[in-house]
Amino acid sequence: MPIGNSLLAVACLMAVVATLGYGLALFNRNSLISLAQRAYYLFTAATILMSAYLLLQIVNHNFALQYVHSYSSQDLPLGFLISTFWAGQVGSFLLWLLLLAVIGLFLIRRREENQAAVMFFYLLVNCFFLSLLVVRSPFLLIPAHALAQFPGGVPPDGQGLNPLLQNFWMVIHPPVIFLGFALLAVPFSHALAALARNYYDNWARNALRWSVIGSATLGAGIFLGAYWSYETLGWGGYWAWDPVENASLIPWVLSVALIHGLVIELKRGILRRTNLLLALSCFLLVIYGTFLTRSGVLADFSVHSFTDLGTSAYMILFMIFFLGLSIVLLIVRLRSAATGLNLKDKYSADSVVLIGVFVLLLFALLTLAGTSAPLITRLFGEPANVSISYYNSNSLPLAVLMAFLIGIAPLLLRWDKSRSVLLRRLLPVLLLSAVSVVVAVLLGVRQVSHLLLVFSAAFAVCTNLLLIFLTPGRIGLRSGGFLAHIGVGLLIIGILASSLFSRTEKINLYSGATPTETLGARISYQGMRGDINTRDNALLLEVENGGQHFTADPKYFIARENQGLMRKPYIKKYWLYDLYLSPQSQKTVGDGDKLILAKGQESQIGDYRIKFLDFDLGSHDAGAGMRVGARLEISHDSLTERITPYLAFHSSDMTSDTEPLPGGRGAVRLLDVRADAGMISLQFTGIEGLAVVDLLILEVAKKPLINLVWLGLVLICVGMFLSFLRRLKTAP
Amino acid sequence: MRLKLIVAGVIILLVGIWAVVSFTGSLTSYVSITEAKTCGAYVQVMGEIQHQQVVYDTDRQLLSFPIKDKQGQTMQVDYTGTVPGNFAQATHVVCLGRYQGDAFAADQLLVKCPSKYAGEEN
Repeated sequence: MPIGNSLLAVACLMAVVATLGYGLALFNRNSLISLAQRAYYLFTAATILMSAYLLLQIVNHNFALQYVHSYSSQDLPLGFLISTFWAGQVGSFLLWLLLLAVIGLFLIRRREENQAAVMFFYLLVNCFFLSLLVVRSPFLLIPAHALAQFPGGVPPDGQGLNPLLQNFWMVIHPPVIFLGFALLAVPFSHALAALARNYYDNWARNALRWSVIGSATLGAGIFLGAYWSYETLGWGGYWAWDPVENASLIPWVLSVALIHGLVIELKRGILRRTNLLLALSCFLLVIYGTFLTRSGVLADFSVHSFTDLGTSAYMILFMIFFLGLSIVLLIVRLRSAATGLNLKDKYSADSVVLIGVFVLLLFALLTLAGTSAPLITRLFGEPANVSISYYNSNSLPLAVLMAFLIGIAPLLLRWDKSRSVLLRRLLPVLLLSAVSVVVAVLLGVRQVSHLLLVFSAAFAVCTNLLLIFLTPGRIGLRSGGFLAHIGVGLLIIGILASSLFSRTEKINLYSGATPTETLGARISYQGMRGDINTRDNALLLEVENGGQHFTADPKYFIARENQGLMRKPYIKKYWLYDLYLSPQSQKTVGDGDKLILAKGQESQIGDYRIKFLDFDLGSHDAGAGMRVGARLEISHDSLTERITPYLAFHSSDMTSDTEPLPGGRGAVRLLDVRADAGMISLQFTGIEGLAVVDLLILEVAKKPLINLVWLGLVLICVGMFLSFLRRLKTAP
Repeated sequence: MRLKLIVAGVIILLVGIWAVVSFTGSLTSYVSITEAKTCGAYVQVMGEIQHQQVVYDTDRQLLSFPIKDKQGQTMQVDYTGTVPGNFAQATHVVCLGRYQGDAFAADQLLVKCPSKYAGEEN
């Protein structure tokens, strides 16, 4: 399609002009800035048009485009159809570029000392994604010779969207993640600009605002992904430390560290170099994560398989470029950017926050090392991966420490102003935390580290809650930080409870049988609702749990797109736990009452062994038509007998006699013969094991306090958005 | 000032040692089927699922299936955990566990799901 690629070319040209214009301004040649600005507007316009054009092709089902053909189909509803825009690698790069370009519109008008430099580095990031699109254009057509096969020269339908992705959460999860990533490019550009120009006024204020909104958005994106995997995949988990998940977690943790570091820098004028380093590494790790997950280097270690589209060389090139640029600038400005690390009052909230920044940094580094393990170990020999226990055992002590710091910091924050009030309230807070530990012990938590975690998390929740009430104006924009910290505490308790006390049972359910009791719930299986080949076909379960009766309908069907079995758990939510019903497999058991045998063939039905010897064609009843018999050898309990059921052909129909089977119970009759093929069809009655029964293997799990996980995550995001609004209000 | 530096140094050193120990301690090497059969250690093996021979034992809730690696070796895998949702669609699987008796006892399966980034031809 010439339109798409022409727009791409215009975008490239304008981006280059804008980059050069702003680049020259770095060397105090400011004459080109207004030209560069105009070029940036044109670049943005071209990017928006290009995206709109691709969307139009998707919605209009132009399957001549490779991208549209690979990911969409005629039958997709509009919402999913739009989501195919970012279902593939190239489209997600375009979405990313679109978000970057639009975010740039909020940057471009600012009148600041570092303005041109910020735009220059920001444009470099844009150019990176543009060049990926040049390598793999989303507007590539299917080769002409392949198109020629189709009537009208266009494939009638596309390959369709992976059914796992046809889910509301999965539609919004990637754009939110990409938006978070794109927003984090802004503090990155601010850091590079400040270093390049050796001018740091306002850098912290600007970087803080953008990193708060970036971090909040990325956090929301991660949360959506976690919820999707819990709700859809039926693995029962929300987090698996998969490289793809870690690739977004690491930048998020660093962005949180950056936010806290910047707050200290703004207040005290210290920690500048650390913050610059954090801002740089945060986005560098976004690029690194993109490389890890899109290049196929981790294909053998991740549950997601990735195909290399020939872009990984470019990604490595850009990673090295940005990494080199960051390192060089940091080294050059090592002395001039220094602010020192001296806190005058050592026992202040800020020093606690400072320790927190380093704990977060350590957590990010450990997770990074684990995620990169296959690459690191490849340098020394056979590639190896760390097990999940690596992440879990590292996180535990860091989480305890983190929760303590989060609990102490708000107390110290108010120490000077309202010491007496705090002392009065401290006792109930400690008491509440102690009570939570006692409750945990009673519930069966025994490990000291787990109890410490419960205590510190409860402590953090209580002190931050206390501070909200002590803050004038109560719940307002100022409480954002406290809310987010309460969220962290609740999240920790939720994770601990749901991973320590989740109980899972697998049960076999026969359709129509009496209910099976598992984990306090009585469950019976009613069979399948419709045809397994229709979308959203479900299994029907009658459940009685906690005095409540309901019908559960976990999805179970074979998807048209990939002929794969789709299973979706049914989750019944209660205040204190989730009842998680996840179908494992469904099949029919039992022999059925019919048997088709060829001459000489032997088969088992019930506890009978049947061998078809040959036909008996001999007897012609005068006037009554033809009779055909099948000589059978039937073995049962060391007893072998021969019987011959007959089929009589009349002028208009057939009749057959029922022959008793040896042993007295059960009978057989000849249903049909095909003498030319040497085949007979037999029907049996009265034998055990003939009935076809529908069997479902169901996994039943009880996940306590899972709601705390979601509540905690929501509070973290809401708290961060509130802080962002507050930072916007205090804008210079 | 000197004391501060020493304390900071010791903390960093301890954290570093802890990190290295925990990292190397949980490394699971990634081996071929031949190696998995001979070494007997906890390893991870990747192979192609032989879908025609997947058997699910309802009574023991045991999933067993052969996998075939790039060298063409095959190995029987026994797995009792939750079968990953997309097992039926997967072509390849990473099995974590150890080889015991005549089968690979896996305690974790990483199914290579056809994710959104896959499935693009050429």
